[in-house]
Amino acid sequence: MPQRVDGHGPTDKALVRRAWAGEEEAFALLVDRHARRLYGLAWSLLGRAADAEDAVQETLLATLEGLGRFRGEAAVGTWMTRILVNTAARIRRTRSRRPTQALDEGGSAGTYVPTAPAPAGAADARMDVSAVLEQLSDAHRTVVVLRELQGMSYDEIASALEIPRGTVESRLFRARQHLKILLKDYLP
Amino acid sequence: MTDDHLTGASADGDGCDRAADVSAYYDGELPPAPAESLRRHLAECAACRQELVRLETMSAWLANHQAPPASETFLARLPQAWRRRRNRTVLRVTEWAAAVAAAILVAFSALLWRQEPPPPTTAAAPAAWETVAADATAVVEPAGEEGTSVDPDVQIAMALLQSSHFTTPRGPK
Repeated sequence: MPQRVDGHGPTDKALVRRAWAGEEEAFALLVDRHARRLYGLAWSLLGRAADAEDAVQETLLATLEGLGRFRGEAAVGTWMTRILVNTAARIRRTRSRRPTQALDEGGSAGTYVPTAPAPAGAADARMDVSAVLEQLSDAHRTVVVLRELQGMSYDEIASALEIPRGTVESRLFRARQHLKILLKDYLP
Repeated sequence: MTDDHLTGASADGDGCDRAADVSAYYDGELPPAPAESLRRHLAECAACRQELVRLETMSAWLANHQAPPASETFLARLPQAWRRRRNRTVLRVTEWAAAVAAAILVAFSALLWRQEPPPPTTAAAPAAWETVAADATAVVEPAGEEGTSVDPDVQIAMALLQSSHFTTPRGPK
């Protein structure tokens, strides 16, 4: 999670404070540093472009508005990740109360039929991964996405989710056990 | 962290109680000593070797789940969203401050109103006839007290007639 760009420029914390004070250039820099990564995470957690955009926008605004609550112990990027995960969970809860809608890519979590792992980059494979992740609990989906797709370490995940490192380890193990069951016909 | 640090979780594994360690080992998150211990274990345990291969396969499959890039239109919209939110916040704070100021003003006014002394009774100078009437009343009251039957109004009228107010000649018309 970037703090500076190429070791130059203001820190994220300085940018957050400047943006909060109304400096639009600082906000634009924060967007440049974090929005794409946050969008990738949001998309992986939510599976829909529109929801991912909502989550990213809400996260960036909440980051600035919550400046007073930021204790500065974690990196701004970690703090944003925490906000995004919570925001995504809220969006999922809201979505679950709405009538079922098809995924952006045409999938439907309720009618998933797993297919064999496909070559990387194939659109149908991406859709199927979304559908499989939909079947995990929020907690399991989150650790799988943070570890497998965001490449975060256990310590970074623990910090972002505010849970002990041991919980990350056991939760990830259980999530993988669940994934193994879902993909049992396609794994060696 | 010890080799059996996830004993509870490993009960869900496939045939070997070190399956949980395989997961952490695969992620490179096992400390050196347990990692070395697991490496030795892997040489002897087919179930754990199988677990490792499954983890690699799952990771490769999950790698297909890379998000599409965020649209530039969306990214360009973010500063506007922040501007709007900020303006709304400033407006809310302004409204709140105005409401507080108004409340303080009302409270202060109410306090002032309650503490304001009653207006002084600046009695106007009595009219001439009032003075005379008062004198007359004072004069006739003793008689009244003695039980005379003279009507007080009549007494006042008599006094007025005797007073200089009515006997003073008026100026020429």
